[in-house]
Amino acid sequence: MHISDGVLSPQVWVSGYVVTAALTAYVLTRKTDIAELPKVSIVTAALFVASLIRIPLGPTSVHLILNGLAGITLGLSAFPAVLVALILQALLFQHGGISTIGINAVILGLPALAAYGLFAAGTRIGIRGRYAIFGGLAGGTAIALGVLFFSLCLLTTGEHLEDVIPFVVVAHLPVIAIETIVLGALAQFVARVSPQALRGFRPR
Amino acid sequence: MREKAISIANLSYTYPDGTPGLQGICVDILRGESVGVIGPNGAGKTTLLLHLNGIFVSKNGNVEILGKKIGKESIKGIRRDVGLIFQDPDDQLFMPTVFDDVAFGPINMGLPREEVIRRATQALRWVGMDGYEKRLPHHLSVGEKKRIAIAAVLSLNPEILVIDEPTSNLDPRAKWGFIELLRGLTMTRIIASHDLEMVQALCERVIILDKGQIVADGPTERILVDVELLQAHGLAPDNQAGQSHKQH
Amino acid sequence: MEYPQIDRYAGLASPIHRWDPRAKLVAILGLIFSVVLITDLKMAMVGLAVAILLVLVSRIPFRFVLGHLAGVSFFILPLSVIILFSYHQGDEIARFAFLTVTSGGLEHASLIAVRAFAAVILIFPMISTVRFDVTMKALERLRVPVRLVRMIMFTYRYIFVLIEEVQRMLRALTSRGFTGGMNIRTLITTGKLIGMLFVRTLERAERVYRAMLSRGYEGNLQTLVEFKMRKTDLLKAAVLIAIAVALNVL
Ligand SMILES: Nc1ncnc2c1ncn2[C@@H]1O[C@H](COP(=O)(O)OP(=O)(O)O)[C@@H](O)[C@H]1O
Ligand SMILES: [Mg+2]
Repeated sequence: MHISDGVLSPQVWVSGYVVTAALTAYVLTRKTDIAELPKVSIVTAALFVASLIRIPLGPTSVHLILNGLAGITLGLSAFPAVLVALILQALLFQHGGISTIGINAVILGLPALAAYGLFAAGTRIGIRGRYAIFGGLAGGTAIALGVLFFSLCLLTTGEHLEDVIPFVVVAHLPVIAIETIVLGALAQFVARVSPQALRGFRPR
Repeated sequence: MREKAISIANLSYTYPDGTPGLQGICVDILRGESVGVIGPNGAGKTTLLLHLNGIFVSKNGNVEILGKKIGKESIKGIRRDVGLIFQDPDDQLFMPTVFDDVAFGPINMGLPREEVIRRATQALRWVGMDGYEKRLPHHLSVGEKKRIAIAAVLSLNPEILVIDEPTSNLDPRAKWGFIELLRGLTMTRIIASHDLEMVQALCERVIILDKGQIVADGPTERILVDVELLQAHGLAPDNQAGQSHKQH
Repeated sequence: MEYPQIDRYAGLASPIHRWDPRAKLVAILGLIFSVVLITDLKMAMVGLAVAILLVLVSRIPFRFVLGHLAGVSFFILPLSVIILFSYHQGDEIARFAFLTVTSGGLEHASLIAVRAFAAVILIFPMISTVRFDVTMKALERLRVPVRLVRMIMFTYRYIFVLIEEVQRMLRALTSRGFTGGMNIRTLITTGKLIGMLFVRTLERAERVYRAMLSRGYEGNLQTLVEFKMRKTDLLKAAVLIAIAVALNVL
């Protein structure tokens, strides 16, 4: 779900930069204690590395996207974390593009924040298996919302990309399922072995 | 009599989750002493070391470094005086290059640029790593990383060196090279480990820690020959195989 | 799992390697943004030619560049093919069963693909000709917000440490019979593995933070760097910026 350079109209990618700059500045200067910055970064590195793990899918394999995990584990800091991961993916592995860093951060980062809200609210409900359920929901929702934003970009960019949307949606259906299962298992596991890890690490 | 470098009185510490870390620690360490803190895994060695430059500050008990009680005003000076070297060098080498890492402490002290460069260069020379300034931490061997970690602390000119498990993950050659390096440093040293060979080679005094308490404290030549004492605290293999199962 | 090795050719000697990293970043970024704005296919081809020329000048092996283009290709090639068959304008030039290709469609699909490859190829003279730690310091000197640069710096540093950690965990799993086949078990195991990675990483983050505190960290993360801008650096930048402008106004 990393849009490369050369596809989108300037209106879309410039707006992406504007939104990303505003949100990042807000989170990093208002919501992050400078002392927390190294910790947020090291968790970002873990997200980056986890997204290098390949999951077999039919004849090929896919990388995990894990923007939902960013939300669950980092709260608001998930947005700058997604941005940093995208910058590094573009520069180190040429996934995505340079002009599209901003819009890609919006496509993946806003759903990460939604996943955070969903997980935080859901796990307050005292039902059994709530971590698995809401971890999975957060993971799947983060991808689904990402696909939605991605499609909206293609739709509004005016480069005759509307016909691509059905392909994008279909290609991501298995990814939604995969991330739902992976994050459900993950959240349940972490809640069992280190319950404070799911609460303890969110900047105010 | 020599001055006290470290004075700990009645120190107890409990982790936020309720795990007891330390209980009623009382110990004085003199200037220039080289002290080994030994004990099995989970004995509280790391927890104790983290109190020595104010990373952990316990309300129970008192820790004085070079005559100053650890507190808000003294903390900056104490962190300069006590160089703490962590077990895993990857936790300590967090900057992009070797030079950036060794310069990190001096820069935080607010030293001028030339002095930062002078200290970093000198510290790297001390540990035999000059010429490594531009190298990247992830391209170094564990032994090299450990040396750089020492340099990163020596660049602060500490009076006291506190080292956690210096020889863990080192092969024999790297280990003995590293022991030679530590022997060449003359400041007060506190070394936590369960590597008795190294403690024997480097320390004149040994403290045994178990379950957060000091269970023995004395000259190395007396403690390290007391096989029963060592066995009782999981620091030497039991005579009869099979017995160890029953004890735990 | 691959280690980042984008800067493995940073040690070569070339006019691009010798170029001040700040000037290089600004100029080539300018060129990338110019390339993505091009609306004329011929100009886009010129942009692609400039990109390839810069790679040649930099002496970075072309197969290294090609090896890094998989990500973009997987995205761009299917996309261009869909556009090729779905966007109809101008004369019909080919027909396969029920699919038709028009001259307008061909031109538009080509434009997107050429822009995309030109832009991504430009990353190599920009990033592969300097060590990445220097790139990060150059970004900071260019007044990219320091908190963001610091985050990139720490993240980059710990990527290497954590890749090793994950590899150890994967080896342990494999030795206990984990095969990674396409099934739910694989997904659940992967979830637990990443969960474990996350728990350990939090512990590590705490230890790293302690190590920073113990060396006097109070939020200041300065580094000492020496950059020197010479006339030739500015000249090179001026040439590329001129090309960037020309690509869009000519
Ligand atoms: N962050 C922590 N939270 C809770 N308990 C901890 C933490 N760190 C260490 N402990 C516990 O404190 C005790 C002492 O640990 P430590 O000082 O690391 O021992 P050592 O260094 O001698 O192996 C152990 O029981 C350990 O499990
Ligand atoms: Mg320890």
